[in-house]
Amino acid sequence: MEGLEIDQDLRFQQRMWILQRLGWGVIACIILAALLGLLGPGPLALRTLDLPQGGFSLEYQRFLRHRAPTRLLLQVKSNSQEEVQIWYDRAFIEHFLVTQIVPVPTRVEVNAERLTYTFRVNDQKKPFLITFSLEPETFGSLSGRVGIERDDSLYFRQFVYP
Amino acid sequence: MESIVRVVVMYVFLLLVFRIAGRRTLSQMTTFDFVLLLVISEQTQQAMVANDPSLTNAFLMILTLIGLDITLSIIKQHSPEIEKWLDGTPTIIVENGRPLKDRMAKARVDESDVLTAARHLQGLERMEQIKYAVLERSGGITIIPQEQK
Repeated sequence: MEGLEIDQDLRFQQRMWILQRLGWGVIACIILAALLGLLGPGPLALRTLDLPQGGFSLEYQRFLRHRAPTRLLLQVKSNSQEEVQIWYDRAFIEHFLVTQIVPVPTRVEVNAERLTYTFRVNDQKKPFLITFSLEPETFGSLSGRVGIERDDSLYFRQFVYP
Repeated sequence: MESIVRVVVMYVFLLLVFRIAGRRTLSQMTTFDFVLLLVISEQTQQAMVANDPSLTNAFLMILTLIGLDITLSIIKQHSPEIEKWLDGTPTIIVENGRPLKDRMAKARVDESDVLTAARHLQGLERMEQIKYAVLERSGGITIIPQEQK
């Protein structure tokens, strides 16, 4: 045969080009998902939960990433008490490295199921804001409970991307 | 979402900065240019990774960079005007053995750069053997030798 001695396979190449374009579509979808806040923390992944009777609310990120810092923002009405207590169920909080708590709690208690933080309230008229800075040390689906008093609690779920 | 925005901003910034710096900056690769590249890439990485060491973040950053690259290449394909702005145009710097001195001065290229390329690409010995020398968009120099008689 005449011509260039070459390994060309045009039909194969055409298929490769089609696959490539499909791949570009996949990349675009993934980036869009990330921009929409589905693949990690972001304005659209921010969620807020309130107790039906009021007095306690939680702001958290629905999607997290492994070892990337995140925050839980709690707002509690102190009801003219000098102290406010927050508890987490241990199964949840133990998946995290707690890097900072603002304001600093006066006491931390541990029992079989819960980790309880006690805070002193300075201004009993305003809602009391607590910020927990955390880093997840595992990945996958997590579900947790955070509560005040004995048993009023909020149930929430987070997914940690690896 | 934040990491994607950060990557895009970094990419556009670097594109602008290197475009302004001019072609020769990246193509010569002297020791100095090499060090510059190392330090710049370290800074870029620090700004982009920030405090998120997860695999997901790394994958997303890479996908965003590749995505930007593909998007730009598609845009350039459809608009020669945009391609000119992004990539520049080739410039003739030697014509029929005569170096075009004002162009070479503006492009910060000197005659020894041209002769180096001539030796490297065509095995030529003298400036008179060069028909055309072109400063390409990449910053490299290509040589068309005079016809053999």
